[in-house]
Amino acid sequence: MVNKMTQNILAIDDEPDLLRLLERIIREKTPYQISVTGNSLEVPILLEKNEFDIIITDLKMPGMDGLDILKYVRDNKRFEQVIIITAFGSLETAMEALSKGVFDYITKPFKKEQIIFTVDRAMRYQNNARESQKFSEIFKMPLDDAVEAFKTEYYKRKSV
Amino acid sequence: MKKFLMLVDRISNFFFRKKFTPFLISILFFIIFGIAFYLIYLDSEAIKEQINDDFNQQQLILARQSSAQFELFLNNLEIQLKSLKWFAEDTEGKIRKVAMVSVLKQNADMGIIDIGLLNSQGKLVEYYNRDNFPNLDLSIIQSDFSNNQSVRMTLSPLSIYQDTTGKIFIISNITIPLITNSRLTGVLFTRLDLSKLFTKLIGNVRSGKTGYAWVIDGNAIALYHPESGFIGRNIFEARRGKKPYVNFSQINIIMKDKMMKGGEGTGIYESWWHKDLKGKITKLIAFTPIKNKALDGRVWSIAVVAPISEVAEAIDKAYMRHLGAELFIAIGMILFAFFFAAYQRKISESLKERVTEQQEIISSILENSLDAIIFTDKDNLVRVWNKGAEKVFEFTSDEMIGHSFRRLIPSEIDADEELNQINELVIKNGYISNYIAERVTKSDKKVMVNISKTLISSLKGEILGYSIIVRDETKKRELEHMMYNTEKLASIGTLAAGVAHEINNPLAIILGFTDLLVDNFPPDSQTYKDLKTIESNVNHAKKIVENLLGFARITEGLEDNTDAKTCIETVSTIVKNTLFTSKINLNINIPENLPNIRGDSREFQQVIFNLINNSVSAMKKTGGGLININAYESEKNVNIEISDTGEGIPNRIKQKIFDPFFTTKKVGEGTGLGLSLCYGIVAKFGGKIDFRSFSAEDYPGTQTGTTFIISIPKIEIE
Repeated sequence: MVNKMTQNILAIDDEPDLLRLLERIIREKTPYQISVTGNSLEVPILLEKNEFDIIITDLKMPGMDGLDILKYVRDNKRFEQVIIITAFGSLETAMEALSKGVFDYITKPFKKEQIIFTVDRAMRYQNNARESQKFSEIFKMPLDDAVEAFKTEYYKRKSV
Repeated sequence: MKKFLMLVDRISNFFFRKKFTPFLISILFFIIFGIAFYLIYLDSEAIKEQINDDFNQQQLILARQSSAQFELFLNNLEIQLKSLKWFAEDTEGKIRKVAMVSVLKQNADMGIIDIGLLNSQGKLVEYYNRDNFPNLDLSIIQSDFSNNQSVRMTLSPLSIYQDTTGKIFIISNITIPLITNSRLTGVLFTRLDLSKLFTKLIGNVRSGKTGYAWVIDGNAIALYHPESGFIGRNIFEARRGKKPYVNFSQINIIMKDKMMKGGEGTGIYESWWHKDLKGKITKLIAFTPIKNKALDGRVWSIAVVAPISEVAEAIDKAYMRHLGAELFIAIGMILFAFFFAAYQRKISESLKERVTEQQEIISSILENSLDAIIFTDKDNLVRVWNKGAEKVFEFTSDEMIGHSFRRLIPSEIDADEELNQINELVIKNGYISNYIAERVTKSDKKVMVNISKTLISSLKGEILGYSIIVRDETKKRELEHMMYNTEKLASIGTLAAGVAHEINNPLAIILGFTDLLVDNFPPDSQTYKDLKTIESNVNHAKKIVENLLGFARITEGLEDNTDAKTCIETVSTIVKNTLFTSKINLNINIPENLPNIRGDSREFQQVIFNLINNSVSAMKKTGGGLININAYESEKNVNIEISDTGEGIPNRIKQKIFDPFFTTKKVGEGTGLGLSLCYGIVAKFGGKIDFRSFSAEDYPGTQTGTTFIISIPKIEIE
């Protein structure tokens, strides 16, 4: 349960220094956990093994690129939100990415605040999403079960 | 046909080249015609002879017929007379008389004058006559008879009488002995007027239309002749008597050698009359002897003569036929020659036309060529100067012809040296091509020209001059320069975009870590300041990269229809504050109905924004000024002029201002990409960006400033 509360980020970039920078920013400036990989082809395996709230990925990479990862997530109806970082700071690529359902789009070079704010926003969005999912699951149950589930949840939160 | 014509062409070429000319050909023509005429003449002569011969053969037949008639008559007469012998002993004499008178009567119109009977003693027993003249001289009969003891009928030699009227009688006595039981019982005699007989027999003989017959005896005495004066006379003498001074030798020879010797044949001779005709007349003659037992060996000859004019018609016909044939051949040849000449003429005319046309084309090409076409003699004096040359050098042909080419060479170049150099090459190689040189025009404008010069020499190798083709390449050079610039910009843009992507990664890393580090130091520490310096420089680099990406992106427009007026107004609102603080006034003068232009509005705004920014920078030194934005429509474009009163652009950098990364601003202030971005965007719109500028450096004392002129194709409102 405690683990559940720690929210996880997966960062993917073929540039190790940039990956290290992201890791530093997240570790030092946010309360979230981060896993990194330089090999985009590992992503599906990592996603199977672990649950993440956010995927931060470079747009252009060897192997799977940012949009491929986004497609993988969407096709598998996964929960993760994808944030794309790109050196191609054009409006067109940004619009394309957004239209395909990325959470946000950050151009290089960026200020650490851009990362922090965007990640925070994404985490809040994910929490809300998780909440509403929980409630919609409760609403789908028969009333007795729903009341029971609600109670369980209620006490769980009280104890925390 | 073609081959034939070619052959003819070749032959005629040969003749005309050798200057045989029509003179020789006409001589040849006349010789050929002469030979043809001569042959025809010979042929005609032969035909004439043939015709004469034929005619004479016909005359001969006439002569023979006449001769035969005479013989027939004699035979007939002999039979008649002999039949009388049965009555000779009729003592009563009644029957005898009847029979004798009957014979006389029957032959009266054949020239029988009388008929008589002598008894065996020579005494006249019976006698009847038609006329008293000439008187009967019985002794002649008796002597004739005694001279002629033959038992046949005999004609005595001739006796010629003339009566009081002058009528000639040629009398021959015919005696026929009457013999019974080998005993002479008497003699029958009769006198025959030969002239009358022959008049009767051959007086009507007609050879042709006017030909006639005549008869002579062995002494050339004319027994009959149409010329009545000849009858009974020696014909030689008679002729001489009629025309004493002319030569009758031809007919005389014929008569002496042939007719009087009993020959038969034909001939031709000159005479001096024929019936009513006078003068020299050629006559054809055919003659045959009259032979009869009764003539007792004497030779008479009958001749049929006709003037040659009788056969002239036939000869004329033959001549005419020949001449006609000749004429037709000649006409045919002349016609052929005429048509051939006409055909040749037509060919040569069409050739001439083609040549003229070609010449016109060539001269029109020469005259109207956009390239200058010039011909100079070997001393470089201009001889031909076409319109193209007038266009390139502005000198008219009147101004140039006869003048040296060297006035076109700029003064700073040694004209003689350059011309000599060129001419040496031309003489050595025969030509020089694509020689690029600078030349001056009449208005002292310098032009870059491409010269091709060819040596023109006579067949003997003597240099006549040079043909020169000059192309003005000033515009082409400018265009090439512009193309070069555009390509340079485009390639730099592509390169820059690629590089920019690569630079962004390290920049992100530098900026990111700097950002993290800054937090670890208090703001007043040196490290903090140093890190902030790193950060600001990274940000500058980031801006450059952003601009580079913008520059590279110019190939993908989003809109293609932009309202220039609205765009300019939007930009002016954005820059209003900046202008205000820089003490710059902005005048915008755009007509309401300005058409839209091709292109993306954001990019167009970028262009206007960059240009206004440049103007603002240019006016920093002067501490304010004026920016005028004017827009107007031209035939195909919308033109926007943005002018300022700034410091202007010095001439020395005018070439470079559109180059990427070229900037006059301090490091950190400008990226050097603003104008190249503008250039790229406007070029993408299919437009043009140009400028004029006056700087204090080049134009001291004048109002400095720069005007950028953008022309972008307008969208036609339909």
